[in-house]
Amino acid sequence: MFMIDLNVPTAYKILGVSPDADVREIIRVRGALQKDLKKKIDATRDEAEKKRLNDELLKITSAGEKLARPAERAKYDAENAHLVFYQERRAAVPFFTSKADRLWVLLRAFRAHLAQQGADLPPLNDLHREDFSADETPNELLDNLLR
Amino acid sequence: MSKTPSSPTAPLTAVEQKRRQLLRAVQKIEAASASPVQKRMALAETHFRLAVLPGVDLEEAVAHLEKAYQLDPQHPKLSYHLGRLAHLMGDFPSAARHYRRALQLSPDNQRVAAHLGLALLEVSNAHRDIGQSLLDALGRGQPAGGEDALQALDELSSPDGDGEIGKKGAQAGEGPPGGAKPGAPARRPLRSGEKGYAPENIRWKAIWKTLAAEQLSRPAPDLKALKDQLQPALREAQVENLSTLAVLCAAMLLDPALKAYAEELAESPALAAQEGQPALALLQQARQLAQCASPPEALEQVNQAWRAKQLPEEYLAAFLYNLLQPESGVAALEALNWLESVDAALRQREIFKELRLALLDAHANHASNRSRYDEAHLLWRAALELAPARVNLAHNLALLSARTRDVDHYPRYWRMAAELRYLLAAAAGNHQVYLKDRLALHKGFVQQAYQSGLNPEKRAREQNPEALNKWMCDHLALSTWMEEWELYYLNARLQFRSAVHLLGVSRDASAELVEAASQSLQTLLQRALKPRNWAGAPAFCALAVSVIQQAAQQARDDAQKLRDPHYEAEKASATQLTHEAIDHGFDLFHLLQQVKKMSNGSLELGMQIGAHLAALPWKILQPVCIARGYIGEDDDLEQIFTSYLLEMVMSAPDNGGQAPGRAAASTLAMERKLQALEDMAAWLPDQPLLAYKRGELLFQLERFEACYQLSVAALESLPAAPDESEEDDRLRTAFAELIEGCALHGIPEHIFQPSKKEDMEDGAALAQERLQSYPRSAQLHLLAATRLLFLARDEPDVQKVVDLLKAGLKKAFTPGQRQPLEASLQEAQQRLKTIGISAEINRLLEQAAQQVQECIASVQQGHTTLQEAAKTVDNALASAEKACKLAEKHGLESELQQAQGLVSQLQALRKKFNR
Repeated sequence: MFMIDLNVPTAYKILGVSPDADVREIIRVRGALQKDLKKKIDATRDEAEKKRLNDELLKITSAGEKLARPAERAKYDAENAHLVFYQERRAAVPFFTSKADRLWVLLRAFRAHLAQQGADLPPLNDLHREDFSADETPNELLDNLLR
Repeated sequence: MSKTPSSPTAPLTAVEQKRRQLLRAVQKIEAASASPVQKRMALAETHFRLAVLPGVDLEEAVAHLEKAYQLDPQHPKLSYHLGRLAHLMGDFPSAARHYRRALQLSPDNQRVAAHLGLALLEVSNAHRDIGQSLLDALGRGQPAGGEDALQALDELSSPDGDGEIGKKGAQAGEGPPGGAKPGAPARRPLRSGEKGYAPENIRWKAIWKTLAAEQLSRPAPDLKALKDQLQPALREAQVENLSTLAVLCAAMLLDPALKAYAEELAESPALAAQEGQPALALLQQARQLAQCASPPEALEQVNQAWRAKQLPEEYLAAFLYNLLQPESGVAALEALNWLESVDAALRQREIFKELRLALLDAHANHASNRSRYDEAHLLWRAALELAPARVNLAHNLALLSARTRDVDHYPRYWRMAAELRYLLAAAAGNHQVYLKDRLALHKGFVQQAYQSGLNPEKRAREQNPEALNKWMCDHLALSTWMEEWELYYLNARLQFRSAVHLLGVSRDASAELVEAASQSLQTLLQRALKPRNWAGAPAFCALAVSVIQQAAQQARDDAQKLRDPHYEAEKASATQLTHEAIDHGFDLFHLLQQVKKMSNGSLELGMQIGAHLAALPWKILQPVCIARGYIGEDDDLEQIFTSYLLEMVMSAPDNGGQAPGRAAASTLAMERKLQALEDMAAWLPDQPLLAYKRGELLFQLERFEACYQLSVAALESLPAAPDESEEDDRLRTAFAELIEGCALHGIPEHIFQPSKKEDMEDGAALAQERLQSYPRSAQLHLLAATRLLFLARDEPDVQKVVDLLKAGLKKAFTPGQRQPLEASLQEAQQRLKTIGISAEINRLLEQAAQQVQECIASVQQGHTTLQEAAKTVDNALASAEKACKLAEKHGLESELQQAQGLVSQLQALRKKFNR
């Protein structure tokens, strides 16, 4: 079977950021790397080294341009969906890995637990609510028929 | 459906009573004497009330709300509740759209805005930032911040932005949080002069619960923002607020960053005053648990809380996960051992099985991140034993085996990672399940196999020829690239919800083209998945076939095509995929050309590439290729590729192999070609020229029966005569020649050029025997008929020949076969007509000859006088003359000659007797 190489160079690897890094993180890292490289370029007198550093700067700038622009990045991600795919994943159910999921499940469990003791837990919002009688609008024709 | 009482006699619940009343009201409103507007408003309200009844089925509720919305689309509460239901059903983009509409109708409604914010959190990363900004603005009482967020949402949703809510963000899948669109708000968009917290602007007093819960859901909650929400609630100290505060505190105790604040809140006089309340008791138990100093103490407390039912098991599981996860400094083995000291009954609970798996996974991840790959492998394998169908476990193991170049486990784990994604989609009866994963998986292999020897920035046909040749010699890379591409393409087609895009046809495609697209996709499906031998592959195939057939049905229906809600949205992606397929196909053709050019070009390699080339839906791609100017309007790509492949096979050298003799080498080469053509026939089943070439090779290899069968099948499948093209006509003749060649092979020369009666008899017998094996041969029918006619003695004999020729004519395929049969039939039929006369002539002549012979013998013995003898001869002469006349009348030349000869003899005899 053909063996996948997880170390192929990618725009994300060039910048050293995760494929799910947000744009601010990408811009920050790109800026820091560019600044650092420019300093090194100014400092060196070795032409070969200067060229190598310039090439590296070019790569970083190009990768940064690609990832900092949403449309470009979306295109890059769509064409290289495996870059995100080649990341380890959490195999546990979201209750253990996502705070939002855990809170949702806990609130439901608390509500059931308190109900067993005859106590109510008011809904946090309308996603937890069942009683919407307050949202009913008086309607003469309908209300007369219901009486 | 909505909940109904368990039995007809059970008393109706208040909800059910209300439901029945409302349903009756629907009928009464329609019959009521009121204005149409009043009736419409009343009906809208009735459907609304039916939709929001407690416990109502979500789909039924949506149906009622949609009716209400149609009647009164301007009422914000209808859009709002449509959003709420979509939210509950997990359709976050729709929920956000409905909430946004409600907010447009009621701009200052903070309750709607808060729920919009919550829905946006779930749509995409770009929408998540906007949702958080909106919630932050609401929580801080800053209407301008909320307006900024809504403006950013509208820009993101506008046609020149990223499209509808959820469309682009969801497609891109993992768009950058906060940066999906220039101008999207920062996490907290503050306008100058609007700093800080303005609680006076918060009109929906219950909003703090939503906002606090949302903060607690964030990976890194903002403690200050959380305090802004919780402190006022604490100050108001209403009982119902306090129970909410208590449970939120209990939840906060699970978060190390919030634990101290949770303790602080729990100590507050307002909460302390609630002693004895169940919510507070729950909080106290949670605090006791949180205060445990060591795992043994905590575990003892967990067992105690479980036995006394002081805390829900979910809370205990979450607590234990926090306690035993790697970030707590507990080693994997230690964590698993601690878990064993939990009460056995608690360990049997479903959530604790998940807890064990979650701990194994967390420790495996931790180990993998620290390059302790063996440990990670062991832990994930242990987890996989607990949950063998958990995709992410197989996924992690597959990545681990790639990272460690573990050749022993790599095939198994990658196979499992792929197999499960098909199996679970089949099990769910939904081909979209894990579809994006499957796309990424196959595309990953395609790209990596390609990059293993080629420049990823260039297409195959743009590569350096030497590099390309070298890459093609890497059989694994090449076959992976081709096979995985087919699976990628298949899934890419299946991802479309628009029927025409799923099939890859244009909206104005004919029914014939739709059918061709459906068939080619189904063939590709079988071709790509069958060799994988994955569990679930047959079920997935069946599922995908039904999806394809359903799409074909929709694509044939003009009305459905026009109503297709996904057509426009998916058009760009569909066009791109079609172009990808064309590019891939042309790359394959280029590879094929390269193989042909190679000095050591392998026929088998060519056929392998050809098979993938032929698997593409060229009938569908052809019009696009013409439109792009790749080919002329009269070109037929399928024919071009088939001819090229055929030429490649037939021009392959004949002296290949290392056979000892030239003849054997030639046979071996022919066998290879034949095998290549057999392979081609498997993926190009309806190509008569290909069938003919196979027939030729079979004939040359003296496999006559196979050649005969193939030719007959090919002739039977050729179009009927009226539509016949010249090419078909030529092929028909060529196949007929193969049939005759097979039928007549090895027949000895004397059968064709008989010199004696025995040769005729042998010919008749051999031809009839061979007709058993070659019943469609005209030449065998002709041979048997001519020989039998020669040997025919009477009418039944000739009739048999006529029947044989008629049968031969029925079975003949070509005019060339029919012509000699028809001529021979005419002759036999003529013979049939006269054979009775001939028999009469023969009888008369034999009778005359016998009378005369007997008479002569009697004269010689002296029993008969010459006078009497002359009389007998006269009688015989009369018979012979009668025969003569009959023969003359019916034009029977040989009989006439025979009769005339006898007449002459008898006349001479009579003269003798008269003397």
